[in-house]
Amino acid sequence: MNAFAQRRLRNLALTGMSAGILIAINQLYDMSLRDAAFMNGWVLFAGMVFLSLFNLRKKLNVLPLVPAGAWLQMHIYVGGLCSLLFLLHSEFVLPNGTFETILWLLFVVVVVSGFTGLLLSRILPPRMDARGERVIFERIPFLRAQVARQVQELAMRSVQETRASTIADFYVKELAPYLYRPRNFLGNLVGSHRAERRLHVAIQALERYLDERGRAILGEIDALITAKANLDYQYALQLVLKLWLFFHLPLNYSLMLFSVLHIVIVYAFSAGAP
Amino acid sequence: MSAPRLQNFDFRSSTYERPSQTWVCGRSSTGCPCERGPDQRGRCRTTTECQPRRSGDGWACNRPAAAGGACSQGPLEDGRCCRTVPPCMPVRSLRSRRGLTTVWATLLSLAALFVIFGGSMNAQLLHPGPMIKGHAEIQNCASCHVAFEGGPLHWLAASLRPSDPLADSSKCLACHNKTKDALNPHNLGKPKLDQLTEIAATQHADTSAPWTVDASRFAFPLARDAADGPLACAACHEDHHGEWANMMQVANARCQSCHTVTFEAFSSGHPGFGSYPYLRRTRISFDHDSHNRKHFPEEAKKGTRVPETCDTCHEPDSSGHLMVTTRFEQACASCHGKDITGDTVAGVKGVPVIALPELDVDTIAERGLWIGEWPEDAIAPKISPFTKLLLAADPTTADDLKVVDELDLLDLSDANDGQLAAVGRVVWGIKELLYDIATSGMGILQTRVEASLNHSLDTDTVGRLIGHIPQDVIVAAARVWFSRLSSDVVRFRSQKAAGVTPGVIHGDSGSDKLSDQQLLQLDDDQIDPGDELLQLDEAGQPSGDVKVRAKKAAAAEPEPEAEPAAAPEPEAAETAAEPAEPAEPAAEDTAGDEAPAEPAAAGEPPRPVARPATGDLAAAAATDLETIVDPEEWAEAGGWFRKDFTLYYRPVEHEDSFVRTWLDIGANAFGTPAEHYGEALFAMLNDKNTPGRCTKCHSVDRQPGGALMVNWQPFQPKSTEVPFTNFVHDAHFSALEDKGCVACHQLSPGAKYQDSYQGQDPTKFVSNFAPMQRELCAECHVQSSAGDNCTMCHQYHIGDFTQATMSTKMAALDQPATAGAAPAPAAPAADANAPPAADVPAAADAPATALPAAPGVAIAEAPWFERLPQMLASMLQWLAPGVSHELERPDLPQMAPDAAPPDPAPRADAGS
Repeated sequence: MNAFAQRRLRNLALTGMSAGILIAINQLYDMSLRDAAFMNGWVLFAGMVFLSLFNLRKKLNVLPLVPAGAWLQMHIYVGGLCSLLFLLHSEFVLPNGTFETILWLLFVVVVVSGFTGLLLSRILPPRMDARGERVIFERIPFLRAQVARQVQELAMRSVQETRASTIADFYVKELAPYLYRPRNFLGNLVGSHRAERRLHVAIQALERYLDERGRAILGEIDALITAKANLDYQYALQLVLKLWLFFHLPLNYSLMLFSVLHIVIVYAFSAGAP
Repeated sequence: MSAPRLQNFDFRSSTYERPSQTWVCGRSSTGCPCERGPDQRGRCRTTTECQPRRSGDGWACNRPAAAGGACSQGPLEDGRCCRTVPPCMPVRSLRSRRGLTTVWATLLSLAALFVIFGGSMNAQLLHPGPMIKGHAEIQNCASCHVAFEGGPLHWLAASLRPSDPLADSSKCLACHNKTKDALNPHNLGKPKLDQLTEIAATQHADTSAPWTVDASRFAFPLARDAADGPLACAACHEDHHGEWANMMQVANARCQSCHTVTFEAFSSGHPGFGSYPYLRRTRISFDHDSHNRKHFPEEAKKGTRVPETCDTCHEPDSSGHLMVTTRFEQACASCHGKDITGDTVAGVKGVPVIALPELDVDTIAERGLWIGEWPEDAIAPKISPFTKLLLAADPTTADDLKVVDELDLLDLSDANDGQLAAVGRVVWGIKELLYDIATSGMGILQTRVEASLNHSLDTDTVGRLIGHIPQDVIVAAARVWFSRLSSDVVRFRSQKAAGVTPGVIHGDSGSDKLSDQQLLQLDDDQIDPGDELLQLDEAGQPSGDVKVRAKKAAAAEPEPEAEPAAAPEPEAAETAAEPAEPAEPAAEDTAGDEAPAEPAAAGEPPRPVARPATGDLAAAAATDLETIVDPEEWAEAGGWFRKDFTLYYRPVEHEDSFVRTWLDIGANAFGTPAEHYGEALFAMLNDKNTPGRCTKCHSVDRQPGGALMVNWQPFQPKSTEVPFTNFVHDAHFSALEDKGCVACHQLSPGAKYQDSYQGQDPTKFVSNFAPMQRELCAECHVQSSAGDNCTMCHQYHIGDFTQATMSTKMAALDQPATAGAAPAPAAPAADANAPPAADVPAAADAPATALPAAPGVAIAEAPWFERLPQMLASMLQWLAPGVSHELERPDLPQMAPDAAPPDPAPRADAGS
């Protein structure tokens, strides 16, 4: 068993034990004629505060705090515990008040987005590694422009060297729209390469109209098309890896604010529930 | 051909990425970003491709290799780059956009919170959800939540204040306080709870708590014993979980948090049922064992219809919860109906109500006591208890009755003067009673019974007391028993008014003794002068017609003998063949208030006027008719009849109102000064030789005050009463299979069941059935099968709950209806429903701050994390001591530490 598996097993065991303890405490607390929602609510809120501190920790990278990787691990497992606490707190029923429904939806969206991000971060990187070159997300526009420029140059050169406009015409008609912007976003997410294959088929069909030099240029273009398709693939997957945070983070702060008001309301109108 | 590698990470060919920066170059998407990038404010700061560096005396191109390296033209002479580039439009980085989104989302959330919390629709928006159907009409949060009044700032303050567990509960009780000790555990007071706890701890000391209960008590101990005081409603009941939510659902473990006796589950450790459900003797004494083994088979042989199945006598009530006893007519009448109508009685088949006791008239006469006319054939040995009760209305007569009870009325020779005078007064009392009833109507009965028992009666009760007796029955009895009752009584009363000592008044000494034969031979004209009772006017005075007829009779007949000594002896009267000696001059009879007869001469004791026997009057009447039915036989179907000198009542049917009412009257007399009358009534009505025999089956319980109570009805569930244990019979029918009722109710042969009814304490009894076994129930009632929740069989709130009602004032009927006007919601009346301060006992003057820590309040001490708001408030107070961080508490009803919760004023719109 490697270190990663050991770490995962250890963390899962700790999380499971914590969940068991939380459930037991919740039950014992409820048995004591108290309202367990107060107890598990405060624990849940504390967990949410801890989870929110992860973002702060990433911003304060100069401080000698626990490494961000360890924070991330704690963030994941505490997030799981908070989900359990949320179920206990909401007593496994859907809310039916306006405010509580908003609060419930916020929590659900934050949790679902978080687990979605976790899932994506486990699924997508291997897929990106399995296909072509891994590129830095911020460099993709630059590289895409670079590929487009190279294909354009090849098309121009083919006119000079082959004395024919076959490749140039093909470039203008088919390749230029494909090269100058990201393409096949959804297809890339689901692993479909149909658009890329269609271009390759078209390129192969063009070969019979070219001479030797023309076919050499067309081969280079074909390679660049493959590179562009890989860039699109990397772009789609990396963008998704970044986009889930657009839900997770902003809504988390909304959730914290709504939670504070929830606490105020609960304590104001607890009706004497112990 | 494989794709070429696109990225180079060497220093010269790789650009420097700044993903954490807020702005990125606008040309990144075109593949030619600048090296410097925008500034922090998002402005492009690149005007040329490079920033030439000084090289010796000149300038050298500084364009990086990644951008193509040094250009061939080189910098201008003044050191500027020769390759200018137009400025770009920097764009935000993805990270910056995410941050901006976060900021906007936070601001939007704050705005939403401000609207939700402080807006005019805050109540609707913060409403945590629909309430149950029963609370649907509550529109104002303040109806239930004390903190709601005052607005958002008050809510904020309330959230920072220590929770008052009973403030909101008082709002609940505005509608739900239908029983005493509403907030106490099981609605019981502490003494009762302590008593039950002691019993439970003693009887079930061998039970052990599950480890979860022990762990809960160890980890989260209750601050105080729950039995010490009230518990907030919200401890168990939570609303806002939807219209169909079950607010009464309680986990088993929560029940055990307070209970001394704890156990694992119903099937494991639950205490046995003890004597449940046989907690007292049955109200109807019915020995299932003897009936089943002996009586039913015997009666069946006679051809009597006997029950074959249990449901002949028992059927589910309307709710299906309980098995109640069917009607007498269905279950019992075939055998016991004759007991009621007296068919099985050996003697006269009637209850003697008014009877003329047999008197030693000779001794009375010898001792000079005037009692007027008295039938010599009166044979009742004693005065009827009914008569006694009616006579006891006069305190003097009541004392006399006690004296008379000690005497043998058939032989008064040993009686002293005082005792004899008492006899005389009682005799006159009987005659006055008859006279008063006949002349004054039934009201006299009511007056006398009320006076005897010292409590008032309504008209219905009076009607039942007299068995709706027809006037003719009384009048005929008076007429037959006494030929001149009216004149005697009028004369007696006039002399009594004149100051003559009652009981020793010397009346007339006329010979009134007529034999039965003589009396029977009297024709109407001869009887009429003394029979004015038949023609009394409304005022009880003889009518003019009577007077006229009396005068005629006086003129036609010889003068009565003035001397008592000349009065014919009874024996002589009996031998007289002709009705030539009328008992009294008619004039005197009808004008008793004018000139009473002269008493006997001094020294000569007056003779009592003996009324001849009239027992064969009916037979005499038969002379006119071919035959006449015997009065007793006439009353075969029940009702009044007269036999000899006794007026009988024969019970009509089961639930006979006459017998029942008199038994109730007698029962209520126990424990009062009139108890001996009650005893006499009970003894006579329950005698085995008297029809009725109600208490043969209807048990009699002794009430706390000493009075008795006849259980006229078998157990009847009270709709307003909630018992601790609730068993639903009809839900179990399908599980009984062939065994039926016997599956649970097994007879206990040989049990001394009937002995239980010798006393009057219903709790001292021996059941007809063997104790029920918990194991039988536990065969099905486990968690995985039929369920074993505590609340499946037990109720938490027990007791008698007052039925909710309306108290609409009649003035409201005059108010015109408003078209389309919605009914006033219940909620705004919240303040009005709060109990007034004056109603709150003891602690009304206590400071408000004492509320949360009121001793006796059974609340769990909040753990530290639940006190965070309070700690925050304290911290704010410490940081800014001059600023108040807590708003004024609203005026709440104060709860006395040891007192029951305040009883709020009744609401017009109160729901159950």
